[in-house]
Amino acid sequence: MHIEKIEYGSEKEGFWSNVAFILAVLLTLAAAGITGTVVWKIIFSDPSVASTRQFIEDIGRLLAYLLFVLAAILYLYVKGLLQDEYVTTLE
Amino acid sequence: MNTSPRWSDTMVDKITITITRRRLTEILISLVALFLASGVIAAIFKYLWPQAGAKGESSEVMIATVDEVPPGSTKKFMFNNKAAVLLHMPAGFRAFGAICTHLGCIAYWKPDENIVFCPCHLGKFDPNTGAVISGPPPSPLPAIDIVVKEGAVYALKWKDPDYVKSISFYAGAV
Repeated sequence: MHIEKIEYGSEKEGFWSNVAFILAVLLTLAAAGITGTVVWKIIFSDPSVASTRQFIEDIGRLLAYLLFVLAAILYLYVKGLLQDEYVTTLE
Repeated sequence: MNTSPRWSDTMVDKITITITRRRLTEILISLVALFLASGVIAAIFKYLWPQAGAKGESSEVMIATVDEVPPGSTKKFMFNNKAAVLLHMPAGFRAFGAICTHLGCIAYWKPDENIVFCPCHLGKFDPNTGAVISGPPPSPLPAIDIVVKEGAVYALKWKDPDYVKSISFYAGAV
């Protein structure tokens, strides 16, 4: 048995790295807001409202936004904070 | 001479925690993921144990506008996550749970015979009262209290408050 170990090294530095970090934090707050909205709507909506097509479309749209925001955060995290190359070692 | 350590000396030994931007981003994302997961779990719990359904109560659920269901026609709908049917009879609107009381198939309106019909074992129900006309069903279709107002028909609650608890979770959950 072997264990694959990925070493990301130190954080990236520089202006664009800081911009990516700030954007990632802002997008994380946005993701939390969207998540809260979705959960609130699903749990607390009146049944007569929650069974309408409009409601389901709204939830679907919010989930699509959430997916997009999470993908953007992941991209910023990888490109802005990780090194461009990382080392994989086997133990 | 006083040799006891001064307050300022003890403060020198304070613990310093350094957190990288990378780690902070990971923590924030983890919190969002945790928030999302807890919301999903809460929604699942709400679906499994709907408060209104468990108590035999419900807030008003609009079934249809009066124009949508002219006399002699029906509309299927879901009530407390159970299949139900609204019938517009000559005597007025009637609403019943559409789950056959025999083995849980979905019964439907059969206009040529003026019955609510379960196709699985040929159960027949009276569309005005839900009573069994013929076939193996042991009990009537469960009635739903409805109200007609402002040009629409609303479902209020099951006449039998224990109905939802008495049938299996999956029955009629179409």
